[in-house]
Amino acid sequence: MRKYGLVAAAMLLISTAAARAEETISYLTAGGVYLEDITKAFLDPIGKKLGIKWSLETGDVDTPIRIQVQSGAVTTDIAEFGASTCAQGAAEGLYEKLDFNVIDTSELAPGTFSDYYVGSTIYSTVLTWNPKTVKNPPQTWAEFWDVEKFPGKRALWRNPRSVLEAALLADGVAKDKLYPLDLDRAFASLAKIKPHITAWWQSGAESQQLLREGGIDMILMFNARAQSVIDEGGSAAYTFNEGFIDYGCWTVVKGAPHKDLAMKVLSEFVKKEYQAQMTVLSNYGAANTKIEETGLIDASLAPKLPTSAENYPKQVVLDADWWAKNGAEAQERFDQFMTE
Amino acid sequence: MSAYAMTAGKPGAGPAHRISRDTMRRGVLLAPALLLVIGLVVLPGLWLLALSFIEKGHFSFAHYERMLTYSSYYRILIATFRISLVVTLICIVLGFPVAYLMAQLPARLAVVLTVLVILPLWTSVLVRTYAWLVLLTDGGPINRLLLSSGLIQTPLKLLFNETGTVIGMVHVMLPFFILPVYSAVRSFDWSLMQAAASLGAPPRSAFWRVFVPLALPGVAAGSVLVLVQCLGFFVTPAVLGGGNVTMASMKIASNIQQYFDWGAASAFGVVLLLATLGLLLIAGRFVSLNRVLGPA
Repeated sequence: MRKYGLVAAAMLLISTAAARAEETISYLTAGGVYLEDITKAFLDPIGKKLGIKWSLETGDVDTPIRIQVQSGAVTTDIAEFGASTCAQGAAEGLYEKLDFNVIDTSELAPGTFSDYYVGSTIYSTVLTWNPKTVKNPPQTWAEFWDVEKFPGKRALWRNPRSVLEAALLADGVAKDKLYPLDLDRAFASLAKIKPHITAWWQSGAESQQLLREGGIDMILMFNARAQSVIDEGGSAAYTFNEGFIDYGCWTVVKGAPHKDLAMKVLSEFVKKEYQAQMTVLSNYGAANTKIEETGLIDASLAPKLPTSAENYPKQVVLDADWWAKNGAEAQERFDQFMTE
Repeated sequence: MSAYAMTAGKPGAGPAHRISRDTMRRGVLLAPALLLVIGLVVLPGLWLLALSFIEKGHFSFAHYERMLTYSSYYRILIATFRISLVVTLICIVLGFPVAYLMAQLPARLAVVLTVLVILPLWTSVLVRTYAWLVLLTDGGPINRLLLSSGLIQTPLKLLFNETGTVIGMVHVMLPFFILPVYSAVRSFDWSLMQAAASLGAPPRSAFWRVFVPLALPGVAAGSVLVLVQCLGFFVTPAVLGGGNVTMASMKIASNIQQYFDWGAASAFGVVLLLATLGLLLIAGRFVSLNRVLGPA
């Protein structure tokens, strides 16, 4: 009998040890450099603090989440996307309602969170040019559209987001009167510049390639991508004037296997200490407005950030809700426009 | 293919009231392959078809109506087939002489040439595509060479259009054309050419009337292989087309991301599949597909 008692005690020990073992949170985010920075700024320190392991998946679209929720086999706990993807998914019930007793949103910039998501990084698509070939660079979209006064090879994003906004600004619509977007007017304006667009890039890496080796003189691209061309010794310059601000966002997937723990993770994700570290590493802005209080943000970094006091007011914030509601139609018309 | 194997050559079929042991054995041997094809090709294909009639959980023609509303779908389909046919034709023109040469070389040299043909397949398509980006640009080596040689005065527009797309795709597809043609002509009996010559045929007509007809099954196999793969191309047109070229798979990808509805993407997939089958049927009227797809 004593033998059995020993075995039972040993089994009890093993089972409590197993219960104490680290839990694994499954996290879907963008890959590449972004994932490297996210790992250093958030995953390593938070994993240590909460005693959790990470299982990472990468991707930019929410198709995997959609499949998981529709099939009732959810394996991802936390997913990170662009703002309109979060807004649309929230409207369709793909995400859990966030527990704001756990997550403190008081330091987040207004508009970068809702009941279903909280903001991560803030980025901007900006007017960029090659200073070696362009001596008199355009500073507004109206000037970018003016091919006589500002000659050079042009490239745009093969995506209606921010390109339609640029077309409307070029056509004289005021910054604060953009939404709801007048699609007819936007495409009419875009048609004027289309014959002068040499290339339409489809991935961030491609936009850098165009600027470095593709012979492109002026281009709309992500600010951090333009900055990394400069940092790597390439020839690039950009302005935040009439840039288009967009942000990433974290969600907890509906029916996530570790829902409560995921909420706790988000409560760490939004803290200024980690977000400041991410800004330092990535040159992206942060949804947390208090990152400067951490002392990590060097004064020389401010001019590169879309969120700095000087840069922020020059730009337009993309309307995530408008894009969530009208994105499909805008994309369909854009694809149509591209084949005309 | 399986139907071909099943119907072909059953001389020893037993009495009608019971299946011969031979047929049964053949059936058992075929079963794994058959199950694999049914499970991985036929059923998903039918599922794709079914999904294309479903919108937000209900039966609907919405996805097909959208294709009629926006002319972009029609234009993309035409462009996809135009680019694929041009690539196939160029592969024939460039690849056939290579296969002809390989067939004539001594075995050891032919092996070296085969390795050279296969070598590019071991490099990622993405890497090769970006390499073309550097080569084809206005200030790239090709345009610089042509400019300095005085052949052209202004740089050729080789990039961010269909020209660049076709160049990149031909580069990727050439091995897929050369290898089937080579395997068809490798065992060619060269004494047939001597026989033709001894009957008074000049070399050119011996080539056209003896060699080419015997190489035709290989050419047809290579062409179908190239054409069908071209129809599904994504990376090369996306990068070298510079956004100015849209092929069907790019639009399908865009639909999956935009509509969050498999139906929107599968409907265009179904149209592409039917158009491809239609093209193969038309091709089948000129070249026996059995000779292409069946045992050589």
